[in-house]
Amino acid sequence: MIANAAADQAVRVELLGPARILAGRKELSLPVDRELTVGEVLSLLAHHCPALAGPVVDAQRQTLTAGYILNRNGRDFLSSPDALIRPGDRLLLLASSAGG
Amino acid sequence: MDGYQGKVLQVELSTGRWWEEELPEAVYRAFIGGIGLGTYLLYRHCPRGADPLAPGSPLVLASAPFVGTAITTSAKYAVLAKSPLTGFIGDSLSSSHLALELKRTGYDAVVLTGACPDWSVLVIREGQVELRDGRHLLGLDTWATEQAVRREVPGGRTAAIGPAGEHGVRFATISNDGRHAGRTGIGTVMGAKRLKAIAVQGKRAVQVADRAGLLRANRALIARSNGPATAKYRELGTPANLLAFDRVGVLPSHNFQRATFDGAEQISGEELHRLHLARTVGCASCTVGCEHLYRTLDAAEETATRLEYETLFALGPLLGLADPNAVIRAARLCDLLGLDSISAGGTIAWAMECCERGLLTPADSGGIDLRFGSAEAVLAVLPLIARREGIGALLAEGSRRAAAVVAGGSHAWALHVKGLELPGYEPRGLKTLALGFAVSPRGACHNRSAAYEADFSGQVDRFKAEAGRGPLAARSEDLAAVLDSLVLCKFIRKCFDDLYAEAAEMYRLVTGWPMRADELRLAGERITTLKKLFNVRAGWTRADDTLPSRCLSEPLADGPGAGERLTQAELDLMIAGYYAARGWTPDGLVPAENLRALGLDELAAVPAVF
Repeated sequence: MIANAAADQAVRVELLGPARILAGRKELSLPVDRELTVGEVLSLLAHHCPALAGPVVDAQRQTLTAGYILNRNGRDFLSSPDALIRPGDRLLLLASSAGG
Repeated sequence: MDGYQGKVLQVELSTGRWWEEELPEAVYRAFIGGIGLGTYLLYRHCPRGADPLAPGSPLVLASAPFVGTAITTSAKYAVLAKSPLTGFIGDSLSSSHLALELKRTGYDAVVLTGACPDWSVLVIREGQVELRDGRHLLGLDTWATEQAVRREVPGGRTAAIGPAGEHGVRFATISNDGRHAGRTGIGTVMGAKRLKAIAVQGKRAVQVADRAGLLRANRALIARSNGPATAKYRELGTPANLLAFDRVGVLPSHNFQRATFDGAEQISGEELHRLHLARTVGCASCTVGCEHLYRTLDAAEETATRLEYETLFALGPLLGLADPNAVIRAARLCDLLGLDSISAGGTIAWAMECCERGLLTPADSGGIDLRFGSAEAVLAVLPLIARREGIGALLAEGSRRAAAVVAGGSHAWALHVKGLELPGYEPRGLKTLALGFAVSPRGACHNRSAAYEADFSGQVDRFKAEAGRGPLAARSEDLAAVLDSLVLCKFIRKCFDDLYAEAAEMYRLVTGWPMRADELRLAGERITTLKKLFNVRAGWTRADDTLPSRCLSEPLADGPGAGERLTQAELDLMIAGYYAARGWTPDGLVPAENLRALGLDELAAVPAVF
């Protein structure tokens, strides 16, 4: 578990909705000491939280499965696997369907 | 006629006279069913200038071609009227067994005009229509009414109004199977007709053209409906929105004065699921099963009710309430009283801000201290609204009319579009949605336009306003019109690779009539345009396509979008882009050539039949 990674060398991922239920936790901290693509972060995420690999993260393709999306720092929804994540960023992993 | 029953029932309630009408095949093909067919019938039967609550204003119930077939999530019916809240088109959908039974009566739609001489129950069977005495049901809540009528009409299914519909609350619902046709005051129109309930019972099966082909297509759709695209709805239901919206700063709280909520975690779908979940159920003919019922855990008598995000938002953060037990109790009250929870919450939030600013005092509200965060106040005021007692008589009018009475500048914090209170999305942080709200014929609505999808997709900058949002909003409306007319639940819209192509093929399998994807898309545009024509006939002007002044004058106060604004100029830019995308004039009117291209020119030229 890497929950204690230094804030400036980590990316915090808050899990929302079904991802939180699946993982059984609210958030985790990934050790990230350089700029990474979304795809690379997803690989890390699947490694550190295996419950998400499969139903939420397609680890081989480094993408999210249908129905999920990432948001960076509460502002930007990330549609491209090439979008960049920096140490200190805060990610939200949430369901992509907003209706209801 | 495969997929359809081929007849419309018309009942004149003042006399009990009824008759059947056969519609041309071309009407079915042009308007599909559900909201589309209902809009066509409402347009034909609603007189120009009609008071929505006058006997001459019709109430239309409409079925759809997919209803009663094996297609998953298709058990819905549409109900339409001129809205007593907005004065424009009012439409609503509700799900489950009533929809199936309505279709089995052998009618594709029911048009009700006139008003019963006294409170009545309308019983519809194929070839048999009866008005029964309903006076003994007066005062009963929605669920008690449904149960009573089902005892009196064994085997029937019922739609009922609660006390709110009886007392003319402008945002009353129609309840069936514990679900609600909720928005725009449809139940108010039913109450004005002195109809306490409608019971339907039928035996006529729905025929489909290609049964084997439809079963194959449906099997594939069911498999996808059990996949990740609907996981949110299955696992948590729509309450999953709340915490996500809080984190991205689009969860309206304290009457849209803030875009986050301190109690969001406490009242989130995730916490409700962990602590309060009683059970999950699904509508008839549904393989998703999104309906989550939550129970109270406090010291008072336990109650349980279904909660959707919109109710959770409107009775929770919007009112500053972070106690899930109080919200569950308030939601249960709205269900039983027959109140639209969004408009109820929006109007109470307006009153709370009036109190905060000294325009209303506890003396005005019979001692109820209407301050944000007071569960006692919310639970006390909802029954007063439903019965128009005390302060409830004012709030029963909705926020727009109540603000006109109280004055003092309170219209500035009446959060509505065209009189319909805003659902739980913050327009200043979702600019495409803001456009969708402003131009929607129904008023502020997240169901007839899913323009927010562009904002949540990452394909656009959600804080930026630009003319290019116009085509996105238009396409979203047309798609919603198609789904609401076939009918298919919007919760499976992400289960298709090419929704128009696959839905058109299913339509062909059901009806036997060829249908291409582009024809179905055009039907969506036709239906949306006819709604606009209805509104124009009801007095719509360009000034009606706007947003509440708070959204156009105040920056976001908090959250990741703190300081972001939406100016009038930005909204005008997006609206101009929307009108251009639709081929409408700069004033938002529909040109004659546009009507011809959609096949609406003759309909637009014919006066209403009554």
